[in-house]
Amino acid sequence: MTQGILIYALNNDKIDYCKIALYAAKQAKKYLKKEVTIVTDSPDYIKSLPDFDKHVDNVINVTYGLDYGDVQEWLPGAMYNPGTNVTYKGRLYWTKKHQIHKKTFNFLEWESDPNQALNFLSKVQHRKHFDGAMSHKRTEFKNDIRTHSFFLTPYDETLVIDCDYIINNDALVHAWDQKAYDFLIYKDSNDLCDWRKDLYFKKISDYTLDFYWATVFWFKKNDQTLTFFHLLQHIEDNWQYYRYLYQIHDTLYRNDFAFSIAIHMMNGYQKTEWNGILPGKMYHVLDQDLLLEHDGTRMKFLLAKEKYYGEYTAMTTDKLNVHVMNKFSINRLLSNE
Amino acid sequence: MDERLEKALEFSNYMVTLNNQKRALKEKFYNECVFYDNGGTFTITKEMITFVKVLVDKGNKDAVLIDDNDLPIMIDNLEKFYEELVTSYFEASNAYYTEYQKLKTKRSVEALTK
Repeated sequence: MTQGILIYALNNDKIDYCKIALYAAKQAKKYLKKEVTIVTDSPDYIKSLPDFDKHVDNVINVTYGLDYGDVQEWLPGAMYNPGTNVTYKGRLYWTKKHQIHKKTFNFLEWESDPNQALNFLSKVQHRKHFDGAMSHKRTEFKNDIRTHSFFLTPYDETLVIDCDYIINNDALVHAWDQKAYDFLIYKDSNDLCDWRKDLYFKKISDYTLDFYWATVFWFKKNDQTLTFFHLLQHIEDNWQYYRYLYQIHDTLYRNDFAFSIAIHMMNGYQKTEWNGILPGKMYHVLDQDLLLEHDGTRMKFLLAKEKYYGEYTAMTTDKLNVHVMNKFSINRLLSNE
Repeated sequence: MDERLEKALEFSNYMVTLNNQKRALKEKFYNECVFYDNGGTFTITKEMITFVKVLVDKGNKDAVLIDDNDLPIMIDNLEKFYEELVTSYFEASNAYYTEYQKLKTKRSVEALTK
């Protein structure tokens, strides 16, 4: 069984996701001691960053909108002759054998170049990213690739983390020890800002489903998790329908919502236990807060005050894993290092 | 600004930060009070420690314990499990105590978050 960590770093012109992802990789490798793979659209740039080889084992290259010419997408149930080329989930494959009537794509029966870039047609979205309570920028973000994690990961058992999830302890390593679940995720995250702790992220909308965090999740490759990721892609492809169905006001496609809906469906539209809960606790700060320092396991934050915009209170955490949503402040911190 | 008001606001800021730090310490303690064994997750509580001690004292070598996720986990060596449980609890609570004592002596926002 191969085990490892997958981190996404899809850059834009305002946030250096590659630098942040490399930092997340450094922390993850230090505490979890597993292989790290980064999925990026800027492979040359990320490889040029200091200590890249120390913290990252593999890079998966993603390109956008590559033209495969006449090559067709693989179809379930179709017959293929030796020498046929097909594309499947953004990659080119060929076969040396006759392929008949398969319901699902069998990776073992097809050959591909392991170094080829993943051809991905991202639905680019734009959103407001705050940098503290008083300032924000509108940036491009490509978050829909996460639903391809099953097809991208080189590992049998993968922990996927957001590049802004900073690991400071080894709790998540126990995800690989448990044998009860094929898919683990956090349902609750603790806001470090006390006055906000019960305001957000309990349900995906007022009267509907429980909220799950796609920030960190662990999965084992098998038929069930394959179904889950197919379901995620279906939800993503039909986002407007699901958005209205579950009364989600936000027009942006958001992975947390799609994961919450897919988990609900996998659970038979009830509260059962298809998925497990990740070990350890997840903490978060919003992009209205600022990360000031990170030294060893200690992180110092400025947390936005309630009703006093632009004013903050300080907090220092030790050995807590924190999802730092203010990516500008991580970038600033890394630039000053 | 009136000096008295300035002092009051300064104290108010100090109190909020002190509470933030108390919360951060408590969260660290709870995080460290989790013990993982044989694929199971066990939050270390006083009840848990007492229950395992009773099992050990009754001469049980192994037992099935229900973990935080309500999963039955076979503990093969109860005595070792008990020792590790107690060690983890004391390590976490001693660290909590030491950090808390340090916190109590700090009188400024800057000192609190150092």
